Amino acid sequence: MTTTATVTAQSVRRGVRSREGAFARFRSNKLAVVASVVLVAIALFCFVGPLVHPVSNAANLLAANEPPSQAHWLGTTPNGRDVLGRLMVGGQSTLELGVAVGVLATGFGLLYGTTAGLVGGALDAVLMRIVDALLSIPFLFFVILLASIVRPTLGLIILVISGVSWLSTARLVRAETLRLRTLDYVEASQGFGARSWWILVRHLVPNVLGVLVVNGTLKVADAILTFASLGYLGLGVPPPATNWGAILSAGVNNFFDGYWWQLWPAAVLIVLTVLAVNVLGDALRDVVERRLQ
Amino acid sequence: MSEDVVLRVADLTTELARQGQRLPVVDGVSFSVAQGETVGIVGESGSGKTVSALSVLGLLPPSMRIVRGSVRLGDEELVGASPHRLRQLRGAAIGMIFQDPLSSLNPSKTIGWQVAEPLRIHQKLPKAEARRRAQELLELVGIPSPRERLDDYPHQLSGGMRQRVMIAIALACGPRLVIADEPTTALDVTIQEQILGLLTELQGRLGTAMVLVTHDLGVIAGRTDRVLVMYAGRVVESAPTVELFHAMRHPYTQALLASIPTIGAPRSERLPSIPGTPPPLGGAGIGCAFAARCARADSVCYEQVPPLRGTDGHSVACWHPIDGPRLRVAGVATGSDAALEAERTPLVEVVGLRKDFEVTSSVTRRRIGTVRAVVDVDLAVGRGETLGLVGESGCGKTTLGRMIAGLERPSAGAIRFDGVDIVHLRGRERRRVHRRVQLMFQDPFASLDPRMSVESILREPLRVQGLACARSRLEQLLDQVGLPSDALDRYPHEFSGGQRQRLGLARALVLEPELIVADEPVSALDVSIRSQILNLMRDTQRTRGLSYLVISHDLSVVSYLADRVGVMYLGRIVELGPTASVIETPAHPYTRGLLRSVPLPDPQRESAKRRMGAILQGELPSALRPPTGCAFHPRCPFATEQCRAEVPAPRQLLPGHLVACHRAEDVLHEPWSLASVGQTANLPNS
Repeated sequence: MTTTATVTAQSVRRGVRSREGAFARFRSNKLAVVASVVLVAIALFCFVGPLVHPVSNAANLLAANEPPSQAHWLGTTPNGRDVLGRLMVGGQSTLELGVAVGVLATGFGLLYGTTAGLVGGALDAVLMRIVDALLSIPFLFFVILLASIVRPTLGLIILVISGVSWLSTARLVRAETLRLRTLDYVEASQGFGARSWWILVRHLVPNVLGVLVVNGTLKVADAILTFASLGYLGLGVPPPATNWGAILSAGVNNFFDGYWWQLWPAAVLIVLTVLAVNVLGDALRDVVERRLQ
Repeated sequence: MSEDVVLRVADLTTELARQGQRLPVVDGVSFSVAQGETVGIVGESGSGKTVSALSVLGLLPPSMRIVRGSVRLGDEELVGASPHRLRQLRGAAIGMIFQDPLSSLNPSKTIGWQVAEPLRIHQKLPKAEARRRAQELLELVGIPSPRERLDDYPHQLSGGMRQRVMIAIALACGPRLVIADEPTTALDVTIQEQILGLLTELQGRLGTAMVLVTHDLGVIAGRTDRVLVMYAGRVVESAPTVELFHAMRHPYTQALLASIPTIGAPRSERLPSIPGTPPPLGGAGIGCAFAARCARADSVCYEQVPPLRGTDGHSVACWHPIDGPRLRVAGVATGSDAALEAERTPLVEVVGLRKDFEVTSSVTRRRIGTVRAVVDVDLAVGRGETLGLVGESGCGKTTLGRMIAGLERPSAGAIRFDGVDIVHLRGRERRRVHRRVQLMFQDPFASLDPRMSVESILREPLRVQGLACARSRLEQLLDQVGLPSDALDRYPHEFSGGQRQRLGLARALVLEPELIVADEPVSALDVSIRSQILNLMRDTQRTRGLSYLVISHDLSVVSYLADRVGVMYLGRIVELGPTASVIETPAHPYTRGLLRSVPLPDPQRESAKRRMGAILQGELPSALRPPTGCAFHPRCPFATEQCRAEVPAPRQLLPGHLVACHRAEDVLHEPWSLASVGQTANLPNS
């Protein structure tokens, strides 16, 4: 054994620690870096912007539909509010909602999916049929019905979008769990006498996490788009609160009057944010998948 | 001579572009194949043998590119030929057979359609005509009732049958050259023997030239005319097959052959092993790539690449080739052969063990049948003993191992540790059983959690069992399995396959178990690494007094490790006895067939064996509908009416040697010599 042992000792390859390697790989993806910068800039614009550029939520019908000027860099809305300020306020709720839905949907989907996949049998069948049933409800119809009953608040909208968003996450996690639980290292763990919760916490969750982070970012993008659509349909948060979708809606109504400043800035912000989040998700997936090779 | 050369490859060099670097994967390979000739390319993973074959076919992945050299098929240059021309040649002038017959066939098309496809593409045959030819081809490759099989889908056929279909497709247009890349690696030995036999026979009949790529020196010995031995992208030795095995000159070739355990070789000796690991794809570096692992290496070897030179068709790329007859790398005797010790106290006893799996239809969950994976098995593993289990895939050996390791609950029967039945234990008591029996896995990549450091991996069993352990003890353990102690802070992906298998063994040892169930412990490893792990397993057993249950399809591995061998067929143990007794006087016709199917790394005895004929016919029947009586009777040359009706009970014909066969006495009357299936391959040539 001695000769074997020493030679083997020398030949252990000195690889890069996986975490540093992952970061380096992320940094080498130029597009991902740009996307991160864009997202940080948008977040600063929405949350720090109001401190620099004071925003008044008060309507001022005397100054309605004004084009961009020294006082209002991006002009005013049909109600005479400052468009730049409205974009900041609308962005706050949009970003808060995106992150909240991403976290909620991912967290619940993870719990639900791993439980179904790990326990299996009848419970799995019941849990997944529930998912199937919920997925078959037309979302818009449900939301319109809901809006006619209760007055929407941001918290409520977050819950509603999360309530739909977690379904596909749960399916994804369950499939991952089913794949992982047949792997030898999970079997080995059972061979030490490990209980299900141990396997769940030590092996399944850490290994699902990579896929989940990626899925989570895509959920954020989806949620922002959904929120914008709801706002556009007038089902978003009621005034004076606003969101990019609602601004877009107002802008479209006045588009043929040539009030471009009411439409384009909001549209560009929505596209930019969603695009940046998606690019970030793609980059994260590359990092996660390479790491497992 | 030169007119009938079908393929001439000269100075072929293929590079892999990765992270801005260009690594040579195949470096200056030259060879030619004549009509009716088979050239073997043998090497380990990363040696460039498959890339060589793909380069010829023009099927390289996008990251690889031929940068130099020429590939001539007849008079036509293939390097630089248009993709259109290459497409015309592939499937018509060049046939291809790949390793995995399942992923090489399209699951949504019928067999008949797929065999007819090349005919319709290349020869523009009309549909009906192509179908008629397809039927002839299926008949040619020995598929029973080919007319009915035409409308079957791939999933309805067994692995062996699928590989026959692949051969039919490869031969459909009457190619001048067939390239077979590990055509039998995914198959059982008995099926491997059938498929290789079919290839050889068809090649003789059709006069096709063939390139056979494999990692198995046994397959090379029996089926090729000339051999190229590849290491790290270069050809290190090239010779006519008989000449190579008679007088191999490269230290790598010699060491590789010596490190393969042969059936019946003396078990008291350590296997000679090659230290270190083969370089990864494209990692040849400067100088001779084998220098770091070579006992004969000096400074020249590390600085200059040795040229391939020689006479009479035998060339070798080595600065210090070995002259004269083959060296016997002396194995180190390790004292008494454990098998010689008399009766042992049993550690584990298995009584009447049975496992049924219910098969349900996927939609309605209605029961449609029961697979009897393990049927009425009685076994005992003694303290410090190694019991080997062999059989074809699907015979239930893995299920039996999993039940003993506590991963699967038996449907009936008892598993007793020191007389205590563990089948019905629950909770804390059951968890304590896991301290006594541990597992070693086949796949060194799937058996370690990629997100845990080595220290957490080794600590996991202890934490599960609520035990504490000092870091110094873990370092000691790593040292015992031949890994450096600073490995504790690393992650699995930083280790090679062989090193991961060492980690797997270390993890199994942490709880200081009395029994280790090793399921195919070396099957996934490179040939030159296997003997390292086998030696390590033997060493560990000796120092710790461990018992092993070794499960493998590889008879040479089992016969080297095991004191006693059990042969399984469709869930039952058909023969069980001391290793020497089972291989020297096999009393079950199935055992004889299995032993005879193992390809030997010795061309003369391979061809002698083939003249003897009588390899195992047919395939393992479905466990869903096992044959009546003795399950082996449909494949058995000795079968009688009694075999069709009655299940044979195990009988003891020789001391400690059980056999379940009605006609064991007649089987024993048939002549049998160990020399024809194993042994002597590695004995001194003097």
